Amino acid sequence: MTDFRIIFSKKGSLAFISHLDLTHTFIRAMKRAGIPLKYSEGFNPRPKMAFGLPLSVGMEGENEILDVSLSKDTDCKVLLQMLRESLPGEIEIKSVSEPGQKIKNIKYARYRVTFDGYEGDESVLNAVLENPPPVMKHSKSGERLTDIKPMIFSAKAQNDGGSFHILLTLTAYDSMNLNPEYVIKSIIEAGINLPEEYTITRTNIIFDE
Amino acid sequence: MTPKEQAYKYLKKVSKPARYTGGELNQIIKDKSGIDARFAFCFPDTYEIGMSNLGIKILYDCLNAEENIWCERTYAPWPDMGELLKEKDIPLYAHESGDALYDFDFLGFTLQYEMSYTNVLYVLSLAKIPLLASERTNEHPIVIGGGPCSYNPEPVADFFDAFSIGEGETGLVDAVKCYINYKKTHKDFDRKEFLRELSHVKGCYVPSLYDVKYKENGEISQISPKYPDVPSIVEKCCVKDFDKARFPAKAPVPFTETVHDRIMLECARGCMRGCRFCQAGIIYRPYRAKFPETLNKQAYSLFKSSGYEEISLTSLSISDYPCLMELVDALKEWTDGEKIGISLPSMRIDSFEAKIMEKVQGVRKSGLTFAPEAGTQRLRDVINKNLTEKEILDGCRNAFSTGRTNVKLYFMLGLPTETDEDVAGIANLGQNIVNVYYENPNRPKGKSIEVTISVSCLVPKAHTPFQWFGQNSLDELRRKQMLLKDAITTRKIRYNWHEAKVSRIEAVFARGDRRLSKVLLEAHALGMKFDAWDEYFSYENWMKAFENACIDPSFYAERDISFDEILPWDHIGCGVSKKFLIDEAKRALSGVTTPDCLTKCSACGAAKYGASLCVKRDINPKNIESEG
Repeated sequence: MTDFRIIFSKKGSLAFISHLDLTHTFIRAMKRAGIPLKYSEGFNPRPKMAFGLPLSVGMEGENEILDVSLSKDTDCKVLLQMLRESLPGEIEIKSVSEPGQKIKNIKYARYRVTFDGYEGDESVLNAVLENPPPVMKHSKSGERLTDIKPMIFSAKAQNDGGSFHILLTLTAYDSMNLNPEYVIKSIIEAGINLPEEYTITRTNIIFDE
Repeated sequence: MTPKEQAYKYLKKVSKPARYTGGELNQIIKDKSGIDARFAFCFPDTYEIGMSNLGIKILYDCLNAEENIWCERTYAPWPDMGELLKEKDIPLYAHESGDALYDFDFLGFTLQYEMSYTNVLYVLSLAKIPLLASERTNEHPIVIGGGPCSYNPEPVADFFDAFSIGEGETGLVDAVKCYINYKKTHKDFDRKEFLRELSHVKGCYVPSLYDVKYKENGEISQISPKYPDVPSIVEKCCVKDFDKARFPAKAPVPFTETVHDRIMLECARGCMRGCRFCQAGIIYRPYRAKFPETLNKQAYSLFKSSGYEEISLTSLSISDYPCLMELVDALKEWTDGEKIGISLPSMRIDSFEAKIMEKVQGVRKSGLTFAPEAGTQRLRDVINKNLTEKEILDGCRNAFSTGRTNVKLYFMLGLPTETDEDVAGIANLGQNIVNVYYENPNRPKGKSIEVTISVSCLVPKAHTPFQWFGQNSLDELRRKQMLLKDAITTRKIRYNWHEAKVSRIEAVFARGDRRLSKVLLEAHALGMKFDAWDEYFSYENWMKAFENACIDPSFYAERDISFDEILPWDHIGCGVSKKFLIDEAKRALSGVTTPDCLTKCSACGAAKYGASLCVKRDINPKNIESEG
């Protein structure tokens, strides 16, 4: 097998590195480990690899996707072991398998927003999430007031004593890609006083069925 | 909770937060219980610049090689992070442990350029350490400086407890060992007593142990140690067997992109050429080269520990490295298969080098770079830049024939004896290169040549033959910049010039004395920082700082100094004799060149370090070994 899908988590201080940095981190780790990367043709050969979705700086990811192509037939278990030994501890390889569904078929991403020590009212928040006010959103055509409701597949606020979570499933393709920060912005827009400090974790990436 | 952990929850708000987290591959974490001295190494600029510095990588490795020393890294946080730390009352921390800098035994600064001085104070204040050495107590870290600017440490003397002059592989480690030894032999730590002892260590300069007296006209009348046991001249440290010098097999690999994000392989140290404006060319003497086998091994271990995709062969002048072809061949045996590129900065491009360039670059063609520094042969002789117009034009002709269309040229304005003709000569040289391009019948169709002329202003530096010459006034530098602009008549030449105001401030500090510490305190009070960055440099603020400190900057920048005057850095020994520097200054004025060290020894004084170049007139490590 030469084509693989790697599922990994990115946590702690590595949450602060950018998408480009993450690409370098993987390439370097694979080169250190002697993993036979396949390169593109042309004047400036680049390793053949593709991430499922870029992760914003500051967010943690629990099940991120990376597809790589190797130049030599390699066993999944061997690749998994090599990656684990070479990558920094805050990137954990969860599995290595065949690629399966194509990356372009990614449809949703799940997020967990956590507010430590926040004592908010779940029902009030859930009501806002049913009908979120429009927010100013960046797009290719500039910043404009956008209705984010069509981009929220599901949303739920949940207080589990000590931690307050908002669980979101948001669309994640082409122009319908919604960053959870806009959902927070929208809640604040609705007049709810959310704490300034919170963490966002992408828990899953979901393909079109 | 460590300050780093405290800062974590706010990091999302600052630009490029990965600069503040540490945790890089190959960072060194030690168990504090076995540590006798903790050393925080600061590069007083951004993380991206600091992480690119080879010197820090070497010293990080040397210090951590000692079991009982733990060296960590820290950098100047970008102003948004600085504000945040102040607002949340979090002290600046070291990246590995996340502990506050004030809890360390040492805080070391590398001083690479004068414009980072305001950042030293910025870092000290964020670290909550008193700015003035005289105000620090036994509880505070020993603040120690090093790097090229420490060869004239006087402008920052008041902020440092000590400096380690010269090559830190030996000097800095000895300084920390002296501290450990002091602590073991004394029940209580007495800062003053320890610093006195430190002053006996080779290369260690403790500025508070020296008196400086001044004449009425502002010149220095005397620099003298306060006690007889304190050396009157502090000689630099120098690595004798450079081939065997410690070199990191592993170095921290940043996650985030830095300026030089690649393997840096130091092939040689020092330079044989003796350009008269160049400080590096003097302070790193004598020239020492490593065996190609040593370098190949070091490169491979660095690759295996980093995964970098590029190796840069570094030295002050890589063309002079005697085994370059052999090294490139040896490297390519394994780098090609690993898809690793080799880059050669600072090449001179004669035909031999063109061959090497073809080898390492394959299909990608980069531009061609020359640093003639002056526009006429007369002035190039004055500065001892042994590069002739013919060599430049031949190099260009050669490059054009292989399809290159870009040439970059670097020059300086304000050189001693410079006339308007010399300035116009820069434009002529550019024009001659354009002409050479059009002489080539096989030039690419429809492609134009682009010659870029970049011009900076001379900053006379301490320990160079030009240290006695004043810088041109701002008005004169500007006049020359405009003169050159008007002399360029073709649109094939792109002309860039450096802001003279920055060079002016650099010149003040490059030849400054202790009285300038006051100016830096004023500058800090005005909130100045990141002066090496255009967006933060403010000439108006600098003028205000000088005014507040009642100091005239032109006294330092513009004045011609006579050969018999006491220089503020006369008590720092750079390995080269003052007599040699005076001779060189005189030869400059009469336009006489001095041959490079390999052709003929000019008795500069650096022969005392016993390098093979000086002893056997040979720099090829192979020959030296076979002779036994």
